[in-house]
Amino acid sequence: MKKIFISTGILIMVLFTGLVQQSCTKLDEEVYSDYTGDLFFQDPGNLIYAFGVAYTNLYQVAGHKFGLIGFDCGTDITCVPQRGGDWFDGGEWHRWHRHTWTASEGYVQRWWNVLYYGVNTCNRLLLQFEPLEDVEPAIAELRALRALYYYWLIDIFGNVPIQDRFDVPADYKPANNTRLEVYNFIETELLEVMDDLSKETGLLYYGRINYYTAQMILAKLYLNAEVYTGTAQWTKAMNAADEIINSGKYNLSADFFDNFKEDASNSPEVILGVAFDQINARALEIHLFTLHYNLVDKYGFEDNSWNGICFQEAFFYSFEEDDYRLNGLLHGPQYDNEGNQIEDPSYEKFDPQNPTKPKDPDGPGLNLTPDLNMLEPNCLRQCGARVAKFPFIEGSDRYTGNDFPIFRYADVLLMKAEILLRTGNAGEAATFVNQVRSRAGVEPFGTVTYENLLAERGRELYVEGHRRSDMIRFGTYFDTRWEKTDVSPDYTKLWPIPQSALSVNENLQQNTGY
Amino acid sequence: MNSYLRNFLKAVFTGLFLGLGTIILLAQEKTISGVVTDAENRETLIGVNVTAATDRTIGTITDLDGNYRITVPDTVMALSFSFVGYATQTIEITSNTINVRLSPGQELMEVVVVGYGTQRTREVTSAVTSVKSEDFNEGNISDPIQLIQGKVAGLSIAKPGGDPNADFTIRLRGLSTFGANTEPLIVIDGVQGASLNSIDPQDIASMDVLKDASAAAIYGTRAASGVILITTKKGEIAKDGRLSNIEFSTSFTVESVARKLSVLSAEDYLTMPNATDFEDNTDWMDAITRDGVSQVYNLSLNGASKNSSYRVAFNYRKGNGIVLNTGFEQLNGRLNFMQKALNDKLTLNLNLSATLRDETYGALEALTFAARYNPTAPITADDDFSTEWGGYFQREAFYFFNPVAILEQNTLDGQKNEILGSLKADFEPIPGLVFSGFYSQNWRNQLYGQYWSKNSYWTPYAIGSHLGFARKETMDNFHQLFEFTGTYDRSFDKFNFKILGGYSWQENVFENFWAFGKGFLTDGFSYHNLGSASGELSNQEAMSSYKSSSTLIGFFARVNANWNDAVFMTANFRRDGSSMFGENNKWGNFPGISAGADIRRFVDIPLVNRLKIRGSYGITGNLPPEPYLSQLLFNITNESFFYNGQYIQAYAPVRVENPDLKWEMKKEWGVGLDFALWSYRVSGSLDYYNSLSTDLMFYARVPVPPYPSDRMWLNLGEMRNSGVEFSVSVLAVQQANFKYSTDLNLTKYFPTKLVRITNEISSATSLLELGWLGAPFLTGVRTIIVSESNQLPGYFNVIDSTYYINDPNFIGQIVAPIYTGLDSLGRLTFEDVDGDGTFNAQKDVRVVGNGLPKFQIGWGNTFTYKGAFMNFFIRGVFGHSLVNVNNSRYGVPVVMGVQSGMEQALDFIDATNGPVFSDVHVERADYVKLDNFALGYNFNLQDSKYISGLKIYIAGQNLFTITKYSGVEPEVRYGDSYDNNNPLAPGLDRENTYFRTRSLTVGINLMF
Repeated sequence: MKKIFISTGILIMVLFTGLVQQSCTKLDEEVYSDYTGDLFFQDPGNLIYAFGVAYTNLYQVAGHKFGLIGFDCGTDITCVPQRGGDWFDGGEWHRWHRHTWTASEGYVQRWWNVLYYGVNTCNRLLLQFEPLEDVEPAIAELRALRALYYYWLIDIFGNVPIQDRFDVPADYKPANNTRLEVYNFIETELLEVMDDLSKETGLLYYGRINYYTAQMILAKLYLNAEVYTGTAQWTKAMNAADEIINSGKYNLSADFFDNFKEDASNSPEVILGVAFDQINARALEIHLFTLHYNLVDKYGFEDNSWNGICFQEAFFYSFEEDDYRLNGLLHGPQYDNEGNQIEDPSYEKFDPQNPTKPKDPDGPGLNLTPDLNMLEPNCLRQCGARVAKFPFIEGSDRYTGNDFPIFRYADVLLMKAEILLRTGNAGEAATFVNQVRSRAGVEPFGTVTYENLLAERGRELYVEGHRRSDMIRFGTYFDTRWEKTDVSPDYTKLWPIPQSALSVNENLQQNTGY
Repeated sequence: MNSYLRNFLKAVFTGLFLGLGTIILLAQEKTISGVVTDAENRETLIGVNVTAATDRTIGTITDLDGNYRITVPDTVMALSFSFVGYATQTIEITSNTINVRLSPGQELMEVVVVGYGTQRTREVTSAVTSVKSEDFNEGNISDPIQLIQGKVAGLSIAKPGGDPNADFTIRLRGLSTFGANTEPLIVIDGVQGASLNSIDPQDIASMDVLKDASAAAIYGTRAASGVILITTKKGEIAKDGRLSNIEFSTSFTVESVARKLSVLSAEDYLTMPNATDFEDNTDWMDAITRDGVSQVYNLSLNGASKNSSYRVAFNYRKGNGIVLNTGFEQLNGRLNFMQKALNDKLTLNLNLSATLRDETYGALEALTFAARYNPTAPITADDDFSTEWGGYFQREAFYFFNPVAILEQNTLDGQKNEILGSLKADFEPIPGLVFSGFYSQNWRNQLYGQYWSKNSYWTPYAIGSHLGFARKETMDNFHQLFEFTGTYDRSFDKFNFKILGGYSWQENVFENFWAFGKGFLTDGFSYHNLGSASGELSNQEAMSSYKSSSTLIGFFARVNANWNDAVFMTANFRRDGSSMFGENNKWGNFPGISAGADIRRFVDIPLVNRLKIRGSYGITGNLPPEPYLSQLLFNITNESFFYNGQYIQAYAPVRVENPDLKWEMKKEWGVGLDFALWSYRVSGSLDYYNSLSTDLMFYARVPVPPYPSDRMWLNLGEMRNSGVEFSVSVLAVQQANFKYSTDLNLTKYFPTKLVRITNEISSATSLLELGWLGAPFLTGVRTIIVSESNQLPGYFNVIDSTYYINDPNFIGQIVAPIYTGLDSLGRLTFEDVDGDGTFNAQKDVRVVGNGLPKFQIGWGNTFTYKGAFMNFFIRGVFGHSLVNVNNSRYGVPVVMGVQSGMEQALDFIDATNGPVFSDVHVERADYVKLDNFALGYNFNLQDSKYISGLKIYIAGQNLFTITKYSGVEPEVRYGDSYDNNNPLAPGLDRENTYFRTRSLTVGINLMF
């Protein structure tokens, strides 16, 4: 017995000592479920998988309620009214509507981060692709895509840092560049890569930047050059638009709504599309953001809707009655699939304690009136026409799968018309505007004016994120309008640099006025 | 758990329970008497415990003259004499008169466990509190940490609400980290990082809390939040020459709801301007709750001989929560075995434990929805829409889901299995020199299943879908620990030295796998047929597998010195390396030193038996919260890239890597005083501590550009913490038949100060805004701020209010607008704090409270009269405030429609707008609770041949709570449960708080 214990004891000691010697101070980290960075780019087959991230960021740019889809808040097109307790959210939507936003708004911070995530992802990929072979087209495409992110940055924030490298010291803190410097950077970049970009269109370039997308970015940049730099560039803008028009590769789609349906990749009109998908690209939430609570069952959605964004009254009435595009503004009494009017049990009733509080004029029957009784605090829950431009898809859950056109040909035609008008050629301008109007089924314009052209851009391009820069360019952005009693100061043409960015980078200066 | 096994155990336990009590027979006995005196001054000692050596239930105490008289069964061979502050003596019964001299404070004094060894209490020079099993809390205890809740100054143990499957938050000496582990390291019989689930409360002999850094430094990088050492019960020599001691205990508990949400009654709801009357009357709080019944059975066998001992225990517990469909069932077995060999030079210790636990969770989102559900709605209905959703009343409206349906229609459960085994060999070649090898392996497996019915109107994945959603997940943790230590203990005249040196290697491996499917033909499959799912999902949504591992290596040493039991010194050192640290920072050093002197040994002070002053300094560390934070890694992103008509995966860096990532450091100094007075009848200690934590890991904001995303793990925080702890035990009455003792502990927490949260990468101002209330209604509203700077951004106009100190450095400052009344249009108005003429809910705020407590008290009382005993424990926590989130969202009439809301709406019946978060929703949450109460009787069964001890008792928990807080639970919320329990955002009473409960337990303990 004793011997057994002795030998066991000795055995244990020997085993322990052996273990100590074997792995005494080994501290390597073993990775099982990720691809370590140094190995990833050694396989050329991986490049396409790395490349995609630069583009998937566009889902965030376009689809989120603060993204392009909601970016007409603060203009004369949409708004998010406070409906009783709903949508107060600390007043962020009121401030957006009235241009009294602060540097701490969620949407300000989000736009900055999403756009620079795009810029930095392009920078990272440019660095990682640099040593590889046969990657010139990819590098050109990444630089053009980076220029697109900078196009939004110059438009929204103006004086932003030009960050064009990824390999910087850990404590590097870039300072602002002027809006002019950013303008020059975008122009130079696009011109430099232009010849390396593909002129192919169709499925391979649906959702990617080709030669014509780059021309479109240039055209947008030149169109707004006076706002960005003080110097107009109508000729350059004209040339860029003509590159697209004269190529003959794009046409208006037969049906206006073909550009916004579940799969818009066969529309001849889309220059840069974002292909949202309920399975693979989940970010578009407009269906929930806009619809009234009691419309979910009718459209077969598998989530609650939020009863948020709706159209402003004046915008609704700017449409002629037979304008086909008015179908994108859901309004009037709503019926279920059996033809019965839907009831809203939580409609506003008369409140004897607060007789002045608004009550729903026509009771529980759901009726989305184009008229809005107020912006806040007691906008009636059934007020406002809703965003139906993106045809609702049955079975949508938290996200829906429509495609979103970042750039499309109708915009090119309207830009062309605008440039002609601004360069004293109103007559020729009409032919371009009227192509767009004719598809909408409305009478052609006799004469094009700044006023009717801006209104037409609104009716064509609503909720696609163009309105803000259009109104600034036409000078109407700052004006008083419904529920905006003050003329907003000139500095509001730029958003503030977000507080969250300033607070971590002392080299960054806030935009003037904030 | 295997159902055969379960039924078998039930049968065994039930049989045992019924068969007892019938077999009490008479036996021979003898009577011994004598006098007990102090060995030094020969004074007689009053109140000395005299018991049968093998059975402490047979006993008496000495009277005013030090005399005792005890009658014991003939089989009792020895008597045991014990008295606080004196060495216990066991004396063989050789005659009918035994006079005893007890020596104060000598060798066999109480010991505390200090990590890699023990120390006598009188030698301890750092802040260590030991709680023995006889002082544990009683009653309905299912988590081991409850045993010492409130018993240790500086240790707070909190669980908001009575969820039987939720863990307690353990916080020792406040907060010392905010990005890493905030809870103390748990060491069970030497196994570091073991889980409290691996042990049944009944098997614990003692819990020792290493409070200060000088003591905890021996555990290096994992000790910054303190260390709790748990020692399990071991085998003892059986009485009367039997082979083993057998103990059996059982208890039954009924738990009921102590406090529900104050929601509107049907009558009150109908006074709301927008009320919708569904013409019924349901108390939704009642509808989703019930009385919970729990049962506990414990059976243990133990025994010992001169060179071996063993203890085997089986524990079974089953508990139902008070919310429908919540509960657990747990079976635990444990074996502790010790054998000496080689002429007692070699000691082998083998410990094994296994725990099988089944849990049912209930979909606790139902609590959130219940707060708003219409009280005029019925639970079930037969209209078309309700019928479509399983016959539960349902309507199409925002955020409006029948809470009973959610709990009853869906299945959420889990199984947790844990096996812990360890083997220790101590070899003592020459007296005083011991080499030890220790190996342990711990396997923890968790298996979760979820099924959301096709007829459940609400599910977390979709609303109104008729699909059915199923998910199954496993998680495995493998932990291996290997340690080799040597100790040498030597005395020279009045000097005693003890030296320890050691090496430690441990590895953690984590594996995780889950699969998810939607669209099932029938609910009958539950989550057992995932392959039949028909709904389309991306691979990422449908399944996941993951593995990670980490290694920690440490070298450590300790020297203890003792001069004449009067001056003491302890020095620790540990060098730790972890694979989780960045390439540039792999190894850290953690020293600790403490010293003390017992003044009483130098100066004779009347009435004072001990007066030890001590001081300590130490450095401890904290590991990163997860592996791989320092490395550049690529993985797929959520969204795929649309390329030529197809979606292809997009790979991106998982995070911004930080190759400089290193351990956190906590430097702490402390001074303390241990005292004992009046022949050790009053004893206690007083401690002050002050710590500075540096290099705190934080997922900090970094500039975008140049960084691709705006957060990164950096070591940049600094935080200062201090407090005072006082505890005292008083043996107030020590008569032969009646005894009363009381223990009191008080803790003062000074505010935790954020010193720094910036570095050269993440600089400029440093304001953190936290506790975002979010949707519905309160998106973009923050409730908590903290800043390293005294100078807040201009728009913050936080001015001192009456009670709260205005200092943005304090962690947990709750800021809110100040409500000033309704204007003529019924609009809520608020103070224009910055005086710019307009109210801005973001800017016009003041500090209106703090989420962290300032003061804590625990007060225990024990009375015994002959065999009867009564004890109660009162616990109070003061100074913290809570944001009542339910009130902030649903406390104004405007939000009512189909949905109801909180009673607070009655106070704002004339308000025409809102909700606006303000000081109205922030309340002081001081509370005092009767935590535990027990009343029972220890039967004197010395005459029985078959049963040696019998105890019956009733116990209550949470019997009353005194608080002004209007929510369900005034307990401190140490972190924001909606933000990964972020410790920088304490004080939010979120909507998912499980109701507070009270419970009543009846129990019986038997010894054979």
